[in-house]
Amino acid sequence: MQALWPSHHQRMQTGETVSDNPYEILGVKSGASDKEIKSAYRKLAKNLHPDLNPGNKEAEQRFKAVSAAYNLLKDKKQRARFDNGEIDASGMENPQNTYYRSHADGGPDQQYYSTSGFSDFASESDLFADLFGRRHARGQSSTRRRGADVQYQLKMDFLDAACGAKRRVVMPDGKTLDISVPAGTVDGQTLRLKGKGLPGFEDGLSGDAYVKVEVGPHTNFRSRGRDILLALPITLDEAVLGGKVSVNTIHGTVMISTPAGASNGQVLRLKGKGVAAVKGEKPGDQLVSLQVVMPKTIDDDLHDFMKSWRDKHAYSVRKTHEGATS
Amino acid sequence: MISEADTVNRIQDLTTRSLRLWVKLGWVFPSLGPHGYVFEEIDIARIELIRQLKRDFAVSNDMVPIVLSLLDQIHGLRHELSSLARAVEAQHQDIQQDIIAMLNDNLDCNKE
Repeated sequence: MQALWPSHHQRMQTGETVSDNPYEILGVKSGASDKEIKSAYRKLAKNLHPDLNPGNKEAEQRFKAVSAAYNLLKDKKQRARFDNGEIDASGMENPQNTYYRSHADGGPDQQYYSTSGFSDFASESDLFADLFGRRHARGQSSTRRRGADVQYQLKMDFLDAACGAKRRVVMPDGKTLDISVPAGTVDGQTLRLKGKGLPGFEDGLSGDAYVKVEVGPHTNFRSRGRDILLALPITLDEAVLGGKVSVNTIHGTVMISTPAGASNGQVLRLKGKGVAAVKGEKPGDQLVSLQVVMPKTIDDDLHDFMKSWRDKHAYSVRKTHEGATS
Repeated sequence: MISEADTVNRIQDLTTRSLRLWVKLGWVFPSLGPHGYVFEEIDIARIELIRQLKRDFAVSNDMVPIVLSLLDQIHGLRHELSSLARAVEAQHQDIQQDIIAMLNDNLDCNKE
């Protein structure tokens, strides 16, 4: 690598000083002709271009300096302004911000991926064939063109999305596509259906279909991750005495016991009644928040009972609020 | 997905004519959408590279596919090498040490 560099750039490599003089960076005299500047730039850029040096971070830094220097000096007006001391080379880099190399290291998923450098490995030993041969077959084609990706939107209601469902949709080309929406899909989630996009060219792979799922709200259920939230109204007597009540879950109706002395907002956890288990994820729970609802009219019985009960059993519930209320 | 017109607009000094030629020569592989070619970011970066090779480095049309093919092979090799390194990294420390020792031995042999 060292030998590729003109000797007056040795300083840059040791990191002692990095010249900001564009003439020094390009290694030309200050009176150099346009032609000399261009050829100096070409010589350096050929060795430094980040795409010709995949994985070499230094090359990118030096290429930026060299291209900034060249951009300044190739422009007669800018060069004159620099010679007069009005401007320096900062901010003169090319606007290019992504290089091919940053896309090309994506592995076999990108269409330019090539493993033709391994074709002899596969015959060397069985292990090598196992390690590299299997991928060789995929990367072989040099003219394959991947089909385009397509995007769809799919509206679903809350219960179908929470429980998982299959949907058959008709695509613009008239073909049908079966989509299985996994349990626990939430609004805005995108499903990727590999190979369900437009067909590729020649042997090229088909593109992918991206299906964005829109989930409508439910009147009673809300979802939080894999848990389902539900507010359950109970009567005053159920709150005091406890009771057996039926409650809806996304999987159907179940009977639950509410505890005696339940408070408003108390949460009961119904284990495993949320979104069903999928690979690698535990099933969610249903969280039932109790909402105590008073009778529509407070009749004399209740009124009298409460009054006599208060005389003997008054209790305080606002200890923590005292400072604020007094 | 980027249309042909947007691609031409995004890259300085690129004409539709040369872009189509490069596709025809197999230097760039766009996808085929319902309204013609569509490009991805990787295609844009590759087109930009081709333009630099030709304009800035005076690489001839005969040489462009050679440069591209060598670059793609390097990227393929780099990817395989990093997968292999990750596979080694996932092994027990003893196995890792054995592999490192073997690699160092190999390097020493090659020096002689």
